Amino acid sequence: MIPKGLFAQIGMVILSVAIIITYVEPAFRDIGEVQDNIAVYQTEKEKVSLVNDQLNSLLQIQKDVSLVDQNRLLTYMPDEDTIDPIAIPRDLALISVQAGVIYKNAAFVGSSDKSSADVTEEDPQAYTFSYSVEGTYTQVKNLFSLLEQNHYPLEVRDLSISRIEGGFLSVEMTIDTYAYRNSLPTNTLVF
Amino acid sequence: MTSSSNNSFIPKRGPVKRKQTSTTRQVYIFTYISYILMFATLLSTGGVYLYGQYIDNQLDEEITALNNEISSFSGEDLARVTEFDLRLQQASSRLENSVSITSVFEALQAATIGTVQIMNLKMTREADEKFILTAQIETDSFDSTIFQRGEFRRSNIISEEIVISGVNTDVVANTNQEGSVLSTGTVVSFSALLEVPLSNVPYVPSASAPAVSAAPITISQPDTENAAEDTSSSEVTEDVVNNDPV
Repeated sequence: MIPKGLFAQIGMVILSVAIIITYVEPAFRDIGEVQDNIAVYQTEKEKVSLVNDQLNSLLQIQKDVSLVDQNRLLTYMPDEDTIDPIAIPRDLALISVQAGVIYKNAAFVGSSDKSSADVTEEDPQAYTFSYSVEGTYTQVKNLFSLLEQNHYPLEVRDLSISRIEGGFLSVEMTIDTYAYRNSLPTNTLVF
Repeated sequence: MTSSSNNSFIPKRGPVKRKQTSTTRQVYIFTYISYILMFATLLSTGGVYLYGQYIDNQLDEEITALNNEISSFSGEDLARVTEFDLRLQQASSRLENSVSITSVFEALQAATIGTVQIMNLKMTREADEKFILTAQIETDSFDSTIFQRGEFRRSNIISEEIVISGVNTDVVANTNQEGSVLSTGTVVSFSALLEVPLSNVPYVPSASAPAVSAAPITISQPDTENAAEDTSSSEVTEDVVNNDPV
């Protein structure tokens, strides 16, 4: 004889299995996915937090640089639009006077047009000037000594020295000075 | 005599002996399983639902926290720091490659022997690697030429790759004002190709060296008197020609 509750028990088992299959197991799966997502979000949050912390520390380092030093840096490596093709010959003329040589000429020749393949991030924009003076050997040496000590780079690229009358030397050179080259893309995707 | 009760047609019945029927209730394993399964299912359903809610809330919190972190990020700050860093790198690269032309002259001066005069000097900087010097040199003999080559090679500043070419001899006559020949001499001229690695002549700022002062606005050319003084000083310099390569 079949017990009375057997059908109810079978029904309970079937219902339980149905609940497990249709709700519990998918819910578990969903929970697993959500937990994975939480882990991903936590990881990403940590990364962003790390970036923020690094950025803050770098900002602090930058703020710790004194204004004098920041101005020196801006003088040494100015922005591209601040290179003045008149001011630099003026400075060269003044350096000539200070060195005791006779200033003959200084003029802007052009800026470097390196192909993009040759340019690295560390390469600033070069501006070339021609510069010619006359003077004695000692004066010329003094001139180069002053050029080396200038507040912004004046790199001698080409130099030609020849004797002229009266024991003087005629010095012709091309000089490079530099400006900051902003090679950063304007729209940087950060994350 | 038998009692009337014995005459009854109804069969006698002995004292009822009640059977001791065992009333042990039979509980089947299946029943257990079904109940346990049912309750477990109900519990797990409730638990999963609640835990799902909790997890969803946690996910929302994490998303909010991430959005807050992202919103606290400042692109402008990053651009400012990056630009500053790049500017520093560019300045640093030029500083590292800054050289002293004066050191080149001094090296040339030290390596030039007394009987040699550099008539013409050209110097070209090749990238950030080296200077290439081309000098037109005059001396009095082949021996001096050979000795000069050796001096260049012995220099610590000048690279050992020295090319001496175009060695020519000329006879030069020293004449007086009237044009008569006082004496004759031999002049050996040659061209020297020298290399000076930039690493050999780095610019080292000295604390004692005066920095170039801020430039005044006025520009003036040295006057004639100064030029004359310069000329006289150059003559003095020419007298000690051994120390001056040019």
